[in-house]
Amino acid sequence: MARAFGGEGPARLEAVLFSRHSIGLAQLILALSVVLPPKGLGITVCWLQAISGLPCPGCGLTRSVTSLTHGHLESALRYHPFGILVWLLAVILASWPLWGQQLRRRCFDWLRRYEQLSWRSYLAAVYSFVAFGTGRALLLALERID
Amino acid sequence: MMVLGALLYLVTFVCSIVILIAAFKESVGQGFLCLCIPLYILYFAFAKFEHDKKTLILGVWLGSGVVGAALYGIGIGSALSDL
Repeated sequence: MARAFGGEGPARLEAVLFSRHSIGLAQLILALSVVLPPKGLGITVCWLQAISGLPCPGCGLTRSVTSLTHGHLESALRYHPFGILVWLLAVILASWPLWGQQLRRRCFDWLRRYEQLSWRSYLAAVYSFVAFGTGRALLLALERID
Repeated sequence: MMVLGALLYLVTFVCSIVILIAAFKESVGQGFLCLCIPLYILYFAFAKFEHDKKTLILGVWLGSGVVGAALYGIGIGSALSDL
């Protein structure tokens, strides 16, 4: 797989999205989101939050995805606005093995035809996610200083 | 002490973001593993992360993290003893 980082050109989005690990992880995330309570377990597994008390970009994502699986859209948005995007991605990836051969090929054809556009959209989503997380952490840090 | 610790935390945070973005570029699964599983980012950073300045980024990331945590802890400790 071509690596995008380090100036080797964009990796194919299909390889980045539809790897076996990603599909397995999406299935695990969705299965856990059914079992876990929407309000969370009350413990943090985030080392950044444990050390500094500030949330990392992913903090709240599990609760957001769990809330969506349980049908609580409003609380999902409150926990993490990117939860909807992650949930949709998880549903697509988790159900990917069930998609028909023709549908999969059509999807790959589309991704290849619009490779630049799809890759840039993916990167835009990743950067927005990171920017949101950074902004949220900075705002909380500033609130604490005040 | 605490301010310096907080600044070093900021440096650690920025380096973590660089590694996280690289993980998402490798695969969406790697990105979420780095986010969701504690310390997986450490494994990714050493085993899979590829960058021209990998040594520098990892050195600054770990160095500022450890020193920042120590300074922050000392700062909190001295603030508590002042009370």
